Amino acid sequence: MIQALFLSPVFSPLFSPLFSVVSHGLGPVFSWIFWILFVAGVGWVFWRTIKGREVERRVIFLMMGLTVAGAVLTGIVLPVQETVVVRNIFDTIENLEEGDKVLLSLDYDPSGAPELQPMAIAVSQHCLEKKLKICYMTLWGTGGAMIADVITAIRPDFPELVYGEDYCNVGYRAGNEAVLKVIATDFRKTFPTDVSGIVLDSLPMMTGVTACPDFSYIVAIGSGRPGIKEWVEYVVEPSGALMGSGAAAVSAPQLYPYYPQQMNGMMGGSKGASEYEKMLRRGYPKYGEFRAQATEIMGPQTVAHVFLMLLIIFANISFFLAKKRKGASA
Amino acid sequence: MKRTIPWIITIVTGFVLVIAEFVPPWGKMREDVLIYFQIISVFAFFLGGGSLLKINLQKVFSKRTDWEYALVTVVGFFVMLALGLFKLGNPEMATAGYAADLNANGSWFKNLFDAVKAPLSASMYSLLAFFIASASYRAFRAKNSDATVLLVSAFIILMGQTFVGVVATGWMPDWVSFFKVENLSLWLLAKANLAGQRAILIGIALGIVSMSLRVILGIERTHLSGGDE
Amino acid sequence: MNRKVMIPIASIIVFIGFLLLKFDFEAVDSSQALWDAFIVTAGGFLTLMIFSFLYRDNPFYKFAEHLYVGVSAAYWMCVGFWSNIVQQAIPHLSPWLSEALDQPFLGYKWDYWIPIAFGLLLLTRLLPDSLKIGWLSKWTLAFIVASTAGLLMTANLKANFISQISSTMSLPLLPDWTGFGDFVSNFDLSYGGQFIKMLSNWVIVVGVISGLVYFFFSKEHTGWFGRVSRLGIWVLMVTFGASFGYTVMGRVSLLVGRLTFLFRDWAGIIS
Repeated sequence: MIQALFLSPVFSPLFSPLFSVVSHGLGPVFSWIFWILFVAGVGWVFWRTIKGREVERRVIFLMMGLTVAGAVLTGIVLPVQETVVVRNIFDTIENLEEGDKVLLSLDYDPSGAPELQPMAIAVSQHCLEKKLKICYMTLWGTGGAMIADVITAIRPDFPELVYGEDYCNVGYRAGNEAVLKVIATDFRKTFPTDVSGIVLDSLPMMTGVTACPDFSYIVAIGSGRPGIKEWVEYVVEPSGALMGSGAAAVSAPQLYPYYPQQMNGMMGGSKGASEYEKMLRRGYPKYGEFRAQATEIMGPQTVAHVFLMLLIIFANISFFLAKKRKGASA
Repeated sequence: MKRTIPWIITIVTGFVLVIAEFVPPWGKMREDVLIYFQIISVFAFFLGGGSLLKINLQKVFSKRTDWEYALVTVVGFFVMLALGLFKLGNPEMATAGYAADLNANGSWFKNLFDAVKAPLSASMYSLLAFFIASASYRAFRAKNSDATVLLVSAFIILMGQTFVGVVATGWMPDWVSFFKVENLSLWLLAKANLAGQRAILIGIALGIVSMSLRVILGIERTHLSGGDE
Repeated sequence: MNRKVMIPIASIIVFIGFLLLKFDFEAVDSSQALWDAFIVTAGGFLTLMIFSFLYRDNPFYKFAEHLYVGVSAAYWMCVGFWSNIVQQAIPHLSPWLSEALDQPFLGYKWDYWIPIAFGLLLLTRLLPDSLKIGWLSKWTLAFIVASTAGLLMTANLKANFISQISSTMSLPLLPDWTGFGDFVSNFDLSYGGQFIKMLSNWVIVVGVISGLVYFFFSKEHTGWFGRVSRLGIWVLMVTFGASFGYTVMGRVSLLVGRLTFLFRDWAGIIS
């Protein structure tokens, strides 16, 4: 009955996602058990905290782990709100002409992959749907493996792709800023060959590309240094190339000073990635059947945020109560 | 000899790179210097790996405390090095020879990366989620006005980045849509946060420019001191 | 047998058992099937080893930590060697080496010996102290420091100083202004409304100036200067709050990623 109430037209928009059966989750019974335990656990923390008995560090660890684990197991998927910062990137790619070249730089390692790999996959899929040509590169040694994973993920959906004509991978160069400073004016000086030793001049899609501004659009997806900041400083600023970016959540706030003057859009963390996935699904309905990796993260993400906010609220209530008690006794 | 030559190298290299910004014909020379920099960077990797190996081997041979773990480092190092340097088990070797992509799918190097480095790297950083939860519970208090501003800002961002914000303020009419948490959160990020970040950025830029100038002019020489003089 | 021997042996047995469970015995390519099973099994075990640190420091965590360091160092060395030495330098240094390493020879560039020589000088730090030639690495260090300084100076001056000031000062303080009457009659608090646009631009301009005032330590923060500096602190607090919120988001995303791997790929509980 309670479930029926929550799923009624009044509450449905708010609560139905919490109890819906998601194909990759353990089902509604588990969801119910999880939410009951979640409320009970949070209640227990509240009770202890306002009584002035702080919960032990490892108990908080355990509760955080169980909260996220439970949310992952329920398979909860929540709606995502689009923002103009992300939409700008989508629209830019959408408005490019067939055959235009896009440079995609994946500057991160596996620790950034849960947030950034979905961006790289979604942007790649979008570019290929638009029949744009993608050149992959990386400023991080670990980026080579990330590029390989992205290509493996998108390749089955585009069996007709020809290496060198539709996409290519120039791989990695050590040197951080020095790499960017050179490719801003002479791409081949740093990358005379692709990742497999094929001379760049022999790849049809690279004809006419001498420097970064020859790409119609650059999308730098990065989680630190060297990354988006360096792309702006050493490529966009001196050469005027058009760039959008995908940043790990940790570094996203630091990049806002460059928006919109130096980069026309930014996907920040898994939220940004999930927005892009949503736009892609709307524009290209066939992607509705595929896993939206970042969107799947946003459900457990929300539950973890709620848990964390409740912890902060409880701790502050306790702090003010203690202050009041102290004031009364003084 | 020990300090004068490095000092000259510093001044010449620095001047070439700075002057090339203002004198376009020097652009090619700057590119050459930066290509040298790229190649030298790799020797820094070799130096790092070599130092790590040296320290850990010393620990193993002298059987110092926790030498067993040093052995784990050494074994991991050599296995990865062998798979990478000789491109063992790389499926592209048959067609491309040693030009094969090091990270080709199915290569043993990439497989070991996926089996060991990828999960370890991701798990190390995900540990921080637990510590952030604990730290928030213990230390995030509205003790004064500064802390309150920080707390409120963090709260709005935490709510705005998820569906919670939409649920909490979705009922608001359009003429006050600024106060919808998802809008407020975006505004905080793109306007108020931007102002603070920009102030920090300008401050850092000034610091970097003055420090770089000291290095290029040869006033700052700490990187040339120390070691065997 | 003591615990120091028993625990590793038991762990290896459990690991192998799990590996066999994950192994696809019907796969055509058994070698890759073994690797696939190994990737999932090792990934799961190593993730749990790292998470065990949440309880306390322990041998499993130390094992994983040391393995990470060793594997990472070798990984970077290999990647650097193949990308910059073999693919970038050798095609310009030697036709014979290029052929031996299956790279195209792209014509001699004798100056490419300069970075190789400087690189080798850097490695003199690894030689025993008794040889007393470690100081030669300073030549390379000087080159690295000077190059970095030269690059950073001009880039920061342009992108992070001049452009940032210009982006701030070019903001209109009265956007879409058509007169006070229009402003009052159209007043609302909608996100894209004129008032909010105006507020945003004022916040950016005042925020940047007050933030910079806070960082200006050559004058004592008292009087009007102190009040502006105080405003600067608040702007910075908003910034740090935003950074905190986003850091939480990032770290939780990683945790969700790891747990999804554990439940989906490793334990196979969810599809």
